[in-house]
Amino acid sequence: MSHLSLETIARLVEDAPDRGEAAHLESCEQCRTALAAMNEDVHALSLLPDVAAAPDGWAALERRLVDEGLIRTPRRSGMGGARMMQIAAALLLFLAGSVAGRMTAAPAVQTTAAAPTIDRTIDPAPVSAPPAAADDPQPEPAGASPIDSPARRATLASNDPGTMPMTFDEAALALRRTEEQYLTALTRFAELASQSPAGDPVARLAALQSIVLTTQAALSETPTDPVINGYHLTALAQRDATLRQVAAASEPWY
Amino acid sequence: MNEAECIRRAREGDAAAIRDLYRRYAPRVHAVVRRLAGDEALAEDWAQEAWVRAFRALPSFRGDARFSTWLHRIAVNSALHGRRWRERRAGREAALPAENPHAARTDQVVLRVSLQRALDELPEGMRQIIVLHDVEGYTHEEIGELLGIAPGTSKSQLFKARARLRARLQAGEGAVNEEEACRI
Repeated sequence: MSHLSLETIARLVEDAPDRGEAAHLESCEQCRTALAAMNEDVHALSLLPDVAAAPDGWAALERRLVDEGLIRTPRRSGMGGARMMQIAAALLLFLAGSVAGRMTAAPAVQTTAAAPTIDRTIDPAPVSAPPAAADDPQPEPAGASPIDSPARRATLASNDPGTMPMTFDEAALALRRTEEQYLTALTRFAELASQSPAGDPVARLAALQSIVLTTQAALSETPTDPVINGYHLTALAQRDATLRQVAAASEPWY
Repeated sequence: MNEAECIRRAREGDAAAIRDLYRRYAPRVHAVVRRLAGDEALAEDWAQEAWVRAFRALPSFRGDARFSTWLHRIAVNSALHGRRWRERRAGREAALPAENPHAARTDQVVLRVSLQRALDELPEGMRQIIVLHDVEGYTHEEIGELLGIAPGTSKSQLFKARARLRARLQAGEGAVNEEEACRI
C-alpha cells in the first residue's frame, strides 16, 4: 500500500480529501498520524509569538530618522532636550571653570610644564615649592595679579582685534588649533592632578561619564555646534585619562 | 497618548510619538521580518528599513485600515524588497544550511523553537509563502499580489513548503533540545 505523499497531506490541512484519499486515511493509521502532525504544525505556526527587537534597534533607527529629517527634535527618555542642554551647560561650565581655576592657581613649575609657550615673564615659583594639591587653591605667584596670569594674558591676546581671524575658515582653523592646545594642556593637567591623593577617581569617572552622556545628547540636537563639540571632546579626554588612572590603580582581579 | 494622537504627532516629526509607535509595534515588525528573512542580522536591517519606510509614508496613512495592518504590510513589503535586492546582488538563492540533528520535540516551547529553526532552513521562496500564509494569515490571492505570482502557484508552493517543514521536523533537523529552548 502506498501512503499519501507529504504534499498531499499538506493540502488536506485545508482541502477536503477526495474519495480515494478519504478511503486511504480511513484504513491507514500512519497517514492519519502524519495528517494530525501536519495540522499541529500549521496550528503552531499560526501561534508563533512576536520576536523581541534588537536592544539597540531604536538607537540605530533614531539616528537614521534624524538623518532623514523624519524626526524633528530627538529627545531622550525622561528628560527634555532643553533641560538636557541646560544641565550640560551648567556641568561643563563648572568643569571648565574648575580646570581654568586650577591651571591659573597652580605653581608656575606645573603651569610651564603643561603649556611651555605661555608667558615666561612671570617669576617662577621656587623649585623647592611642594607640588600643589589638586583640590587646594594655591596663592598667586609673587608679582602676578589675576590680570597678569598667563591664562588671562592668553585670553587678552586672543581677544586682540588685530589677531582675530577675519574669515570663517580662519576662525575654524584657529578654533581647532586652540582646541588641540587646550586638550593637550588639559591632558597634562589630568596627569598631574591624578597624582594627588585628594579626590575619588571612581566618583570622578562616574561624573565624567555623566557629562559625556549629557554632551552626547546635546550633540544629537546640534551636531555641528563647535562649542558643544569642544566640551564633548574635553569630557571624553578627561574621562579616558581618569579611566586609565583607575585601571592603573586597580588590583589585578586574579 | 492614544494611538491616533501618537500617529498625528509622529507625522509632524515628534520624536516621542515616533518612539512610542516603535515601542508598541517593534516586536510585531521584527517578528514578521525575522521570519521572512530567516536570519537575525538581515532581519535587523530589514526591520529598520521597514520603519523608515513607514515613517516616510506616514503622511499618506489615512486611517482607512488599522495602523498595525498598514505597518504590517509595509514590513512584509520591506522584507520582500530586501530579499529581491539581496538576490539580485548575490545572483543566487541562499544555500541550505548544514544539517542540524537534535532531539525530538517534547513540548510546545520546543515545538516553536523547532518550527522557527525549520522555517529558517527552508529555501527563501518556500519560507516566504509559508510565513505569509500560515504565520501571518495572508490569503493566496494576497500572496500572489505581493510576490507577483498566481494564487495557484502560491498554493502549490505552500504545500511543498509544509511538506518540507514536516520532513525536517520528523528528521529532527529543526528540533532543539530543552536546554536550548529554555534560553530562548
